[in-house]
Amino acid sequence: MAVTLPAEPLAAIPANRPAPKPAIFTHRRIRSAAWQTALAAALIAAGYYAHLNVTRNLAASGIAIDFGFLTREAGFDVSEQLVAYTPKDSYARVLFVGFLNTLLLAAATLLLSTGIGLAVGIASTSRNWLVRNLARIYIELLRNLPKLLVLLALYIAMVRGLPLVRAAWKLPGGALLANRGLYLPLPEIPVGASALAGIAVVWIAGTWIWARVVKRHQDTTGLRRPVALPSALGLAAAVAVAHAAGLVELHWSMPALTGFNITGGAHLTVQFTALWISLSVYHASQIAEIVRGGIVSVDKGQREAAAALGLRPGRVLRLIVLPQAIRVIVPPLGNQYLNLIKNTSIALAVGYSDLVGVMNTAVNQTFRPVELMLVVMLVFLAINLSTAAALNWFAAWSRPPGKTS
Amino acid sequence: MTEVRSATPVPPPTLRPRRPRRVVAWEWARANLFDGPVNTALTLVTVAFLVWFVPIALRWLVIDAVGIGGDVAACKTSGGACWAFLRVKGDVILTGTYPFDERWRAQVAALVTLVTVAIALFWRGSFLGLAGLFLAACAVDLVFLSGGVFGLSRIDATRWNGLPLVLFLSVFTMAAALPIGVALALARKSPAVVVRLLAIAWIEAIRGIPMVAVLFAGVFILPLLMPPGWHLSSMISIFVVLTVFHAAYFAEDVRSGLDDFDKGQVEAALSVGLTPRQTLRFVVLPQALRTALPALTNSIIGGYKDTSLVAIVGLFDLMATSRLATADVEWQAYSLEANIVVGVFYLVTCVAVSERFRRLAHIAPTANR
Repeated sequence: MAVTLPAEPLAAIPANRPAPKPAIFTHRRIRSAAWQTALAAALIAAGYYAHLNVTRNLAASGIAIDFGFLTREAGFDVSEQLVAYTPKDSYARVLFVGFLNTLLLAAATLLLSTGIGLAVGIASTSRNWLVRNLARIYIELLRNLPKLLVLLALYIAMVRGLPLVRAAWKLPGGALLANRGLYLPLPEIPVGASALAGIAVVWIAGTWIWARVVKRHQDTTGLRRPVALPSALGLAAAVAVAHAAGLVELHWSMPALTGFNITGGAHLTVQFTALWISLSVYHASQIAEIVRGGIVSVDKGQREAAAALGLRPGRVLRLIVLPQAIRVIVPPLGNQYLNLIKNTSIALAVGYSDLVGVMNTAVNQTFRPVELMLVVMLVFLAINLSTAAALNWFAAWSRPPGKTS
Repeated sequence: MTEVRSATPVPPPTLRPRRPRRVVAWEWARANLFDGPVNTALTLVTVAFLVWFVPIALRWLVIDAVGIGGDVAACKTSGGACWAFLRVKGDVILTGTYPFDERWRAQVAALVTLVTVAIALFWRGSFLGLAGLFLAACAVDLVFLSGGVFGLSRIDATRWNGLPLVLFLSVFTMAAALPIGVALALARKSPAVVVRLLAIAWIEAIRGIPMVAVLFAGVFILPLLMPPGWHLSSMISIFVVLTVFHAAYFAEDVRSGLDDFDKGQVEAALSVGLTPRQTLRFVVLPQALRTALPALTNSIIGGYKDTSLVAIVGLFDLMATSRLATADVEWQAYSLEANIVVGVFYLVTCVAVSERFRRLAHIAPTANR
């Protein structure tokens, strides 16, 4: 329950007389309004003084606050870009490139860290002594190391330890790993991209309808029919038929060594790979601890009851424990995601061109810290607010009917 | 706890037949490692991983490693770790570019900070005494690091590197931020609109942006706010913004403690005649801070670890001095050894602090629940 201290002690009201009608302006209220006005005035004065100082300090270097420079040519290159960019493009463009790089790194890290965190969190509650303790060691180790240390150790190990491109390590599945980064196979659709999109829409709708049918069947008869397997088989069959009919052409673009470089597939730079992996394993340890807390919070009797009803251990976890744990997990997990997005800014330490890194270069070139920091802060506030909104929506959605919190 | 006394005396343990140890071990293994096909498979996969990984790690760390007394020639031929690197470059990792002949001063400063933290963790005295301890330690550190008094030569803040810097920045910024954070948390609940809005703006703006951006604000923006002609060293700027940063996070933790607080206690305290200030001091804060302790512990550990990010704005933390140590061509290949030592230091200090806080939360009687 929230604590609000009353403005005056309750003892001020005599017990034997009816309480006096409060006057519109009590002495206390006037005093409070007066000092608040004074505080506000002092703040405005301090803000004005700070603004004055900034203007005078910048004027000494011959510049005034002005966002016009954003349209000027940036003139510096970035480590990688998702949209076309050359040094001839504007500062606004390079900031946009940095913003997309931040989003890409955040999204990739979010997925991988959630996967690892979920697995390790579940493993840390396993009945298997070996698995449980290995998971605990992982969590305790990564939770107590600075993320920058994890990143730099991995980055230096990758740059020094990985082979040259021409001797790249071949990973299972056709991926290549060298000191210039990770090369992944990439699916390509030369013919029938729209047909494939149509199949995807039909598949999603079909799976949804089938899941409803299964749910209704389970509600009336108590029997559960499979959902995931028919859905996957349906998708595979649809793609195979479309492929056989010549509507869709699909093939994998495999990375391969041609000359002095690797072509084909998708190239993740060594900076991105190091950041992605180190941030993922770092945040996975925090997520695992949250997941563990959620699983432990589910009453042991629930598991025992489910087991007594004859559910297999996997189903107990998936149908009984996780749906209840998720409500405990989501709020702290949301905070963790917000931290993760902010933590992508350590990218600067290895020279990946994320938003903050690009901002740093731009500040050093233009000496316009005020404008650039404002832009970056607004972008981060926007990212955070939209993530928080999405998480709130999810929390409301995952809440069981009839419960308010 | 009540003791259960049995009417008949318990037979001495020698009379009980002892089970053979082997069977117990086997039963334990079966219950914990091999109950069911899934667990057996998991165990086998894990054991396979350990059998592959542990020998490699051991060989690198111990068997093939060159000991602390070795030399660089031995390191170059061995396939293991080069601990001799630490003997030669340990000073660089510890104190960086601090003048070599004066480096004892930096070491003393680091030790003073560590001892201060140790004393603070076991502090039983008043809050003001604790504040005094931190102020005194901060002053002693500054005297040793900066010099210029008592016949110590003056050393520029850009040369305070490595361990003393990391400890100085993390410990004293967080010590300063804690009371500010408590004040912010209370301000956020204040009936005065201006105060409340100011607290919300501070807390939410800081928590919305990354620490690296906050550090850049310290380097780029803070000096611009000063009157023309003033020079603000980056050490002071970083100290200020780190304090502002930690305060916002502490405020949010303390608020969680205040939110959990039973309003009836405030009413009870006021009705027995305590003034609002006394109620806050003797009833609300002791309990709210105790409730907030786990969250505060997380923030303190996180803040301590994140102080390493000052390396990004050009201050030399332990990671930066490790890089400095491997800048020497002779010793270029041994950054992993440096990273391991720094990592072990962080691991030990973080675990020690969080264990102590966990115990504090445990010892302290829980609030009204």
